[in-house]
Amino acid sequence: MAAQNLLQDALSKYNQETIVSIIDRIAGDKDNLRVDLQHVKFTLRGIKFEINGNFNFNIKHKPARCSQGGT
Amino acid sequence: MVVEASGIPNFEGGKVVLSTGDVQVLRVELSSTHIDVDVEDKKFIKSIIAVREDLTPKLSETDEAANSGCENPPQIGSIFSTARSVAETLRKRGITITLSYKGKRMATIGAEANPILLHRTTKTRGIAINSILTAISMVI
Repeated sequence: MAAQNLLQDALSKYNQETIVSIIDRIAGDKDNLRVDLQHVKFTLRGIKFEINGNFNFNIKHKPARCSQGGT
Repeated sequence: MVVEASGIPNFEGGKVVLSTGDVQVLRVELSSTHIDVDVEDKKFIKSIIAVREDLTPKLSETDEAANSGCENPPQIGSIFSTARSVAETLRKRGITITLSYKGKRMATIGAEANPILLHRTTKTRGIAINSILTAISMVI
């Protein structure tokens, strides 16, 4: 649990809006982005981590704004 | 200060695969001394570069007006200088980055780069182009 809190704390330092913006732009015109992590091993503040798994983001693109012509 | 060839700090290795629309677009294989990047979709890389440009702080109108008098476009020299300093740091740390397009290696940066002639231009032995044709096919 301590390791999970540590990882959560490290991730919370990033600006969420920036992360969302990056994910949206990386996905381009596709409606999903999948990140597979296979045996990613690293040490954070003296605790060893190994991550296996994937993040699957379903992207809902904002509909393009229609210009409203008026009379 | 002398930097030891220590590899990537606090990192052992792993593999990261990015897919969009259920198609693999980028594979990154990591170890403590190597980062192997294999691009499958060049459109994806171009969108990554666009993201980087979008996230760069924009100048305000007053700043733009102040800078409009001086012509200061991005200098090719400064790009070389940045690439050289990155390559030298990687060499000192014993880290190698390889860039491939569809499995064909384009370039090597860092400790295991072994330039034949390019070092005369770049002034570093840390950057090597392995296949100029592959590099061109990715850029076009």
